[in-house]
Amino acid sequence: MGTLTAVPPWHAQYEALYRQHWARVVRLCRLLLDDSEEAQEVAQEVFLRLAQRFQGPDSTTEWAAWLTRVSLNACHDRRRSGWWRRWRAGPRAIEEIDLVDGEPTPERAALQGEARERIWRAFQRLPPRQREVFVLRHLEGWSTEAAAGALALSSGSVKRHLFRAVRRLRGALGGDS
Amino acid sequence: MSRCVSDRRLLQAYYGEGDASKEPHLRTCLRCAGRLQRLTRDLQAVEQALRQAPPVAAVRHRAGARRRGVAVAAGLAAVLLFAGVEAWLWRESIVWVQPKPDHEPAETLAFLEQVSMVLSATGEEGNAFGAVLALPSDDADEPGGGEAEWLNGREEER
Repeated sequence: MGTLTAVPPWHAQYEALYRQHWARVVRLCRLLLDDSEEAQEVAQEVFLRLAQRFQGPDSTTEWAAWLTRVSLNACHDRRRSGWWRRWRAGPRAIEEIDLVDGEPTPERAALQGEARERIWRAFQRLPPRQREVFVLRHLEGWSTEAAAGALALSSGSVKRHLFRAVRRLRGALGGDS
Repeated sequence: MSRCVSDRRLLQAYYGEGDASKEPHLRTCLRCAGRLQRLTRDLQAVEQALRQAPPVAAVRHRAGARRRGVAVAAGLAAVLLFAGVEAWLWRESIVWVQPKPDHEPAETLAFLEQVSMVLSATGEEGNAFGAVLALPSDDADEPGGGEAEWLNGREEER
């Protein structure tokens, strides 16, 4: 006779959140940490905390914002504690590299690839704070006030970091600042 | 004076956070409208690029930068190690070549005291002290020499 494993009542919601936000959390962590493997590890930590949160008495409804905030803090901690690990680590694995699809013409693809490369290089050169602000504002779609609250900064400071980040990234594209 | 908005204001307008009084200007001024359009286009391109995985060259560039950083750190560490070893050897050599006194300090002091007594003594007294001094000297082996005799001779000359 087989044994039944008890499925916790929050499991279905956890699964739904995992499916909905896993890729976003990994991308966010990768942008903040600049390392794919570390991003995966941090994302796992984040979802472990989510499971712990479900088991606790306290629960929230704003899971997307909660996940972003926890990811942000986890990346902060990782960057502070594991700087030597990032120096030691080698370049990313080959499977991460995108394959060029057949849609655009070779010339257009080359131009797009070149621009993308310049943008990424400029992004990698951004200071961590500017990077965080830009990611929250542009890729996560947070408002200036929400980003300021999550990063414990003033709105003015967020605007300043954002302006500098935009100027540098546009500089990489050859646009006016 | 130009009424065109600054870059900072333009970015705020893009986010919809700017000064509302500037909005009519952005619609009427061709230059500012063009700037806002370019800003929108650039930011969309940046967002699109960052939503995809980093390209190979950016990864290589980062790996190269890391390798350069490691090389610089290793070089610095080697220089510091070399300087540390050099300093240690220098200190060791100073201790090693420090001359060891030939005589005990008490012995030297007694000898100097005797010399001083002889030089300050006169006449018979001086001869007596000179005789005492003539005992363990290198000059004593020399024929007709020795400090005592030399000192006596000096006294006679006087």
